Amino acid sequence: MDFRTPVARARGLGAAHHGSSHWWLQRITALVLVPLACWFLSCLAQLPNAEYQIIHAWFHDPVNSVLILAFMLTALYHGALGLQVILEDYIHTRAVKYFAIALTHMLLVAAGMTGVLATLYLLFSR
Amino acid sequence: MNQRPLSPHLQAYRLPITGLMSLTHRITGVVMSVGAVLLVLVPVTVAAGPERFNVLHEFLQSTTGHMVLWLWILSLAFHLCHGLRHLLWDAGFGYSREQLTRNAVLELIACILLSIFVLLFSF
Repeated sequence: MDFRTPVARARGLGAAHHGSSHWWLQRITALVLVPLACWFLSCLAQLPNAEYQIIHAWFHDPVNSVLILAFMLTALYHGALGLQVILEDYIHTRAVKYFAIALTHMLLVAAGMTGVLATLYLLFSR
Repeated sequence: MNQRPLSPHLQAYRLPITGLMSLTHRITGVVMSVGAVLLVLVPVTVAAGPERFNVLHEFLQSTTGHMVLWLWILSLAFHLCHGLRHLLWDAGFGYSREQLTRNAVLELIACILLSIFVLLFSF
């Protein structure tokens, strides 16, 4: 039984009935990131010592490509969800909040696309 | 629009250890989100060729580069250990008062051990 007045319904007032998927995806990406992040930590530790030839050969290995793609996409998604929560906590003006959240999502999607493209390019290049 | 003053919180109360760690979890999350965007530069510069990659390579070997990298690594270690505790909480474990403080200390030790382990690995 929906007790809202017609104008309240039109304005979209009342409970949103939305958001539990955000909660679940945050936890699921976190679980996936536990092993992936440990693997990535070991990569990051070796990064400063990697010369161009070493790192170029590293990207040719499909195992590394799959893992780095999985890590990049999961981490960016997990970060996007987390940043959204942070922005919602601190920005209260509706327009600014929506704009900030949209901008952050777009930035992370752009980073993801660039990363996927570069990684695949390296995997298939000679 | 809404200019009413907020009651002071961070500048008035000393947070307990669990509260400080929660704040650090949030801060490390933001730091790593920025880092994740910058991380994309690695495959991009490698794909762009050795000259471009060497710019990044030299930056990573400089002192600033080392500091940035270690900031990222330490943030990841902390966020990982504290995140595991969050997952345990979500599963329903560890809410009692003694467990909270004890697990906070255990987690910090795990984080430090992990960081030392990574430090050893990088040599």
